[in-house]
Amino acid sequence: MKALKGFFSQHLIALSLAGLGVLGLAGAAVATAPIAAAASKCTTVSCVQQFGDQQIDARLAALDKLNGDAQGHKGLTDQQRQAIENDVTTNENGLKALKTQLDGETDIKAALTDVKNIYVQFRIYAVVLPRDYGEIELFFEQNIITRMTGANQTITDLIQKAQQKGDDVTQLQALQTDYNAKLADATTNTNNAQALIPSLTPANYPGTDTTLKTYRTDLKNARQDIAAAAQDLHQMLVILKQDLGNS
Amino acid sequence: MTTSTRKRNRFWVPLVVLMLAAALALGGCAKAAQNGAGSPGTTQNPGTSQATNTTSQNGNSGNTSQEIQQLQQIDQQNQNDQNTLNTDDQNSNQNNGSDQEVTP
Repeated sequence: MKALKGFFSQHLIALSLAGLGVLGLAGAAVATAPIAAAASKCTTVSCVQQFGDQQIDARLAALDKLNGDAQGHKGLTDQQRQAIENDVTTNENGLKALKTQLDGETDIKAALTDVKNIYVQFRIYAVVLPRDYGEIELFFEQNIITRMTGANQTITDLIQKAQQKGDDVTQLQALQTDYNAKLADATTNTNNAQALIPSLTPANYPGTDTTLKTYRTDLKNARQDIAAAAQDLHQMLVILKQDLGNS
Repeated sequence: MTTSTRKRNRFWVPLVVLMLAAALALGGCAKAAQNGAGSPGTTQNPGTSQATNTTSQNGNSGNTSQEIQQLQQIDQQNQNDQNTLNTDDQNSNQNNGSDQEVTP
C-alpha cells in the first residue's frame, strides 16, 4: 500500500511539474510574441527608408483628406478654407522635404533620426489633424453665430409689431433673452477654443493632449449653445407666424 | 370718269385714309397697355404691393412678410447646419492614427 501511494505521489508530482512546464512555455510564447516583433528591427538603410516612407505617405494622405474636407465645406468662407489649406501645404512640404532627405541617406543612424523627426517635428496625427479639424468646426460655429446674431434686430422688430397689434409677447421676449444669452455663451466658448490654437503645436506634445481635451469641450459647448439658440429661434418663428401671419 | 365722280373721290379717299390711321393708332395703344400690365416686376410687383400694405398696417419701417421669410431662411439654415456641425464634431474627435514613436 505504501509502495502504491509512493508510486502515485511521485507520478502526481511529475505530472504537475510537466503541466507547469507546458503552461510556462505557453506563457513564454505569448510574452515573447511582441518582443519578437519589436526585435525585428531594420539592419539596413533601405529598410528604414521604406518604413519612413510608408509613415510619411500615410500622413500626406491624411492631410490631403483634411484639405479636401475643408475645401468641400460649404459653411466656410474662402479665407477660412485658405487658412486650412495653408497649414496643410506647410506640413506637406515639410514632410516631402523630410522624405527626400530620408531617401538620400546612406547612414542608418541618420535615416533613423529622419524617421524620428516624422513624429517629433510634425505630430500630424496627435496635434495637426485634431487641431485643424477642430478649426473647421470652430470657423463654422463662428459663422453660424454671426448669422444668428444678425437676425436679432429682425426678431426685435417682429416682436414690436406683435406687441403693437395687441398680442401678448411675454413668451417671445423670454425666448429672445435666452436666444441672446445662448449666442453670448457660444461666442465665449468659441473664443476660448480659438485662444488654445497657438499652443497646439508639435513642440508642446504631449501636453497638447490635455489642451485638445479642453479645445474639444469648448467646441462641443459652443455647438450645444448654438443648437439651443436655434431652438429658441424656431419657437419664436412659430409664434410670430401665428401672431403676424405668413403672408 | 365724270366730274361728279372725281369730286366724290376727293372727299372719301382722305376720309378712309384718316380712319385707317386712327384705327392703327388705337390698336397700337391697346397693345402697349397690354404689355405694360403683363410685365413682371413693374405694375404688379407683389413685394412692393405687400410692403406698402404692411407698412401702413403696422407703422414700422420693416416689411413683416419679408422679415418672417428672413427668419424662416435662417431657421432652415440652422436645421441644415446641425447635421454639418455633427459631422465636423465627429471629424475633430476621430482617431486619426498613432504618433507614438516607433523605431523601425
